[in-house]
This record gives sequence, structure tokens and C-alpha cells, in this order.
Amino acid sequence: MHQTEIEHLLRQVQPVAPPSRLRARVIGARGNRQAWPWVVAASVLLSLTWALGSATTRLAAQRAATPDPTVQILEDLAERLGNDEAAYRMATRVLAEQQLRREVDDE
Amino acid sequence: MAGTATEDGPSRVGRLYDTYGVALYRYAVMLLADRTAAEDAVQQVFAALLRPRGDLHHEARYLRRAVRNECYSMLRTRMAHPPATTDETFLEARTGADVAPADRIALARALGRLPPEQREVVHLHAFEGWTFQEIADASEASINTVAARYRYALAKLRRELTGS
Repeated sequence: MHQTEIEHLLRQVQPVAPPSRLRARVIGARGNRQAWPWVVAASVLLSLTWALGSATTRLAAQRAATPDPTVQILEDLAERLGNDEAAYRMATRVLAEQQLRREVDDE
Repeated sequence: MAGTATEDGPSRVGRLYDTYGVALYRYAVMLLADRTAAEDAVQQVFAALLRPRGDLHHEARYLRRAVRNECYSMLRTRMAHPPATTDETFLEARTGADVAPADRIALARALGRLPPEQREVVHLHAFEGWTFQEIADASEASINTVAARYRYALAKLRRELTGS
């Protein structure tokens, strides 16, 4: 087989044509390929934001519903001491001293 | 030829594909000797065109170069991870040609064993009718290198097809 025969054989053939699906793939694939990471990221961020907001609201509601025991004690004590401004000051001072004493004892 | 200023990405890609897609795919098939890989290469090149960009001047030259770069990039990756099977069905008979399927497959197998640079020269010269000078200009090689690649390619094809 000579070079001319090889060239003759080459002239009889050509590389295959693209499959018809390639056109749709070329035009359609890019949009999906570029968009999906952003869609996923946006969904995750949205879910996280919603979950965080929901948890914060729930925590705030719980705190509002549960009275602070220190405030309750302060009000009881102030009432027994006369239930006026001086009584509140005295009750606050007593509670502060008790708190200080507990901290010293803990150490 | 440059596109119109009002063309959006998908319209432009559709027009470019309809104009150049078949030739670019055939070029990629010959460079890669693999139809599936050629689809991936062509898709990569056209996907890049969907991103906003200015008008393309010398579209044909730009696209051919982009496909060439993509194919050689894929071939470098393939050197590290060679495919388990080879594609021997990437040639078809031209209209009116009388070539036996066995000869076509044997020729595809022989072409697949050539270095891609030699397959590229065979494709551009034998299939697309480019001169060696035109191939040299497009591939940034000297005309002597291009002619030698073609000569070596034909010699190797002859050895592969005749077993001598």
C-alpha cells in the first residue's frame, strides 16, 4: 500500500458528524450548570436565616414568659421593707451583699 | 464574521453552533479520536461563549483555537489517566464513497494510534483541504514540521494497515 493509496482511503472517509443532542446540550447545559450552585447556596442561606430567626424569637418568648427569680426576691423584700424608693434601694443593697458573700464563699 | 450587538448569549451560541458546530466537532473528534470526549470539548467551548462578552471578531479562528486548546488540555489529562477503551467508530464514509466498514474501522484504529499532532495535520490537510502553510500558521509550527508530521503520519498509517 503506497502513500497515494492511503490518501485515497482518507478521501473516502471523514470524522463523524455530531449527534443531534449536542446542540441542545451546548445551548441548554450552561444555564443549569452555572445556576444550580447559586440556587443551592441561596436555599441553604435562606434556611439558615429562617432557623436562626425562629430560634431567636422562641428564646425571647421563653425569657419573657419566665420571671427572673432575682427580681421576684427583690420585689418581695422591698415590699416587706416598706415598698417605697428607700425600701427598693435597701433591698437592692441587701441582695448585692448576699451575692458578694456567696461569691467570696465559693472562692 | 461578528455577531449582532443585540444578540443574547443563547441566540449567539445557537447561531455559532449552527455555523461552525459540525466542523468543530469533527476537528475535536480527530484530535481526541473519541466521540464522547469531542462532545465534552465542544460543549466546554460553547458554554464559555454564553457568558457576557463583547462581539467576537474572527469567530471561526477563535472557535477553532478554543477547541484546539480544550482538546489538548483534555489530552494532557488523558496522558495521566488513559481511558480503558478506545473509540474506533469515529470515522464515517463520505457520501458516495465505497469503503468497507472493516477498512473504515481499521483506519480509525490506525489514526487513533497516531500522536494527536499528526492526527491534526491529517485532518486539516486530508479532510479539510488546508495547505501546509495554513496549518503551520494555525498551529504555530513551521511548515517543515507540519509537512514532516503529515509524512510520518502516512508512513505510520501504512505500517498499521499493512502490518509491514
